[in-house]
Amino acid sequence: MKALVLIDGLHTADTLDSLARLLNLGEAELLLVYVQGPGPRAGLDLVRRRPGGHQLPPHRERELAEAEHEGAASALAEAEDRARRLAPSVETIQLRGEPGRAVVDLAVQRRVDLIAVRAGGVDQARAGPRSLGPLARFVADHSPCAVLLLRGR
Amino acid sequence: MRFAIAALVFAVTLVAIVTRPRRIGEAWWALAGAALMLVTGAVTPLSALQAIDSEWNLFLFFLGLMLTAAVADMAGFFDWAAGLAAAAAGGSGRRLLFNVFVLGAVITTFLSNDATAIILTPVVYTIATRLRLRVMPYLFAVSFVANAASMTLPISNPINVLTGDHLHASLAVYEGHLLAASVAAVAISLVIFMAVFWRSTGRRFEFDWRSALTGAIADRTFFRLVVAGLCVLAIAYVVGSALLLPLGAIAVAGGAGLLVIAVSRRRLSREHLRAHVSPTLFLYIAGLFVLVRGVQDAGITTALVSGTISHANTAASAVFAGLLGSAVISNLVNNLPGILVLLSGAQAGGVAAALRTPFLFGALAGADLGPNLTPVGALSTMLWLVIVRRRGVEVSAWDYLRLGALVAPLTLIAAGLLIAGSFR
Repeated sequence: MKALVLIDGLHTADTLDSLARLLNLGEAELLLVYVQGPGPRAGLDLVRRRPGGHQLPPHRERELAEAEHEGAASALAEAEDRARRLAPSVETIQLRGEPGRAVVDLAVQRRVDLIAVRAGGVDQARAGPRSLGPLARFVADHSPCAVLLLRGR
Repeated sequence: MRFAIAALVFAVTLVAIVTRPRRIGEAWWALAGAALMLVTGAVTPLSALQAIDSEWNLFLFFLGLMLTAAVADMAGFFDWAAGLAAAAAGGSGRRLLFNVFVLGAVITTFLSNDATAIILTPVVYTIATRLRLRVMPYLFAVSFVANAASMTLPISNPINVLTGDHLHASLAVYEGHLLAASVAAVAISLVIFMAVFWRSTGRRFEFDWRSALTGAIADRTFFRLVVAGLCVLAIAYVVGSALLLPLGAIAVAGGAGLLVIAVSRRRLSREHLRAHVSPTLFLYIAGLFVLVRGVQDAGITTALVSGTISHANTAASAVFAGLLGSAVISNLVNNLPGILVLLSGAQAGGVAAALRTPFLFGALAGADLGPNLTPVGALSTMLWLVIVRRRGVEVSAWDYLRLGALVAPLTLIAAGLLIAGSFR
């Protein structure tokens, strides 16, 4: 089984432990994917909006990009370390773009059997209206394969 | 007829400033509106020149602030300060939120709210991203404290300088009316933030503070000179406010002094100057002054302010009239045009002499704290939300608005009560 697991950098242990509890990963091939979405940058844009059109200096742009890359690399390294104890084949992939679209495109391209994604982003542990969150909803709507929805504890 | 033309030009221009059709910056719409005021005869060239000339202190103040922030950024001051906040958090995401809030309050107090919102936010974003923390609570904290702490000193917000020129209040009088309100606004915002984000900032982190602090400073001597310069400037601001000296002149002198330090240490960066010194901001403000003069000359601002304060007959009710009027206009458009309209109306006789000071202190508080309800004015915020939703961006903008709906009314009410109490 080839499974694409979405890593958010905040719930790595919870996500992988849930996956191991629910599936037999003994012969699984895990693709651990971290997507740097435009959301946080859009948030930065919102809080910096002031009359006068203050652009970020080029050195700040470089720092932001480096920090995003470092954060993603560190999240994937932690996930890889944990996943290697669970599955024989582990690959890490760092992507940029709209997370839902990026994950679905990769799933098509790599012909995965399953996408594992946390429901409702970071804080939504309970089921209920709107609890899926935009990312899980997009993946559920557009996925070419089975989707495993994980809920936080 | 003149009344109708001025009102129409003013309203259309404000809508264009907020919506920015064809992605043309607000400065150009403000200038276009000012030109229309002149062409239609709603304002004479002499009156327009007088409107701009009379606010020279504000122009200088903005210039000084931009130069100061640019040199402080060149020296790595903001990165160093944020690194210190992260180091003092001891690996706790919650304590980091608290420290970021305090740091934002200190930078706002001495370097203005714009320095906090524009320069500190990307620094905090970088730190939170590297530490793999949720970014938005920290960004929101910086953004909210930039408004909440912006009443603390007359230099904490350019709007204070503008209003201060009309109030002619010494530092002792200013602080007598606003210090308690400012402290209360910061404390209320902090408590709300810690409560709302308690769960989502619970993650712990490891932080190599030694390399972060040393990495922030490329030239130690330059950094020390700039920090010393900032301290001298802060003292000069306090003394200048106490002696009612023009703060714009002090700001420009301070900014120029810091620039000399940067040149002498061969650390002057055009990249930083280009990023931090925004010439279009001056055009925007000049355009607004002419626009407001147009509606003032037509008697509109006087009528508006008279209507706002019509039910106020005591100092306390005048404070709340100014506070609410200013907060509402700030959220409909933006706080700068909002406070300009109220100042213009008050100056032109819209407020009885006995109620003028409490009205203006209330208006100042409303313009400083009100923007926490909708960060860039209600209409502009809504448009922004629509745009990012269309782009499929998952962003916590609704959380931002919900937070504002909690923080802004509570801080405004507390500030109103404390300012009203200061007039007893």
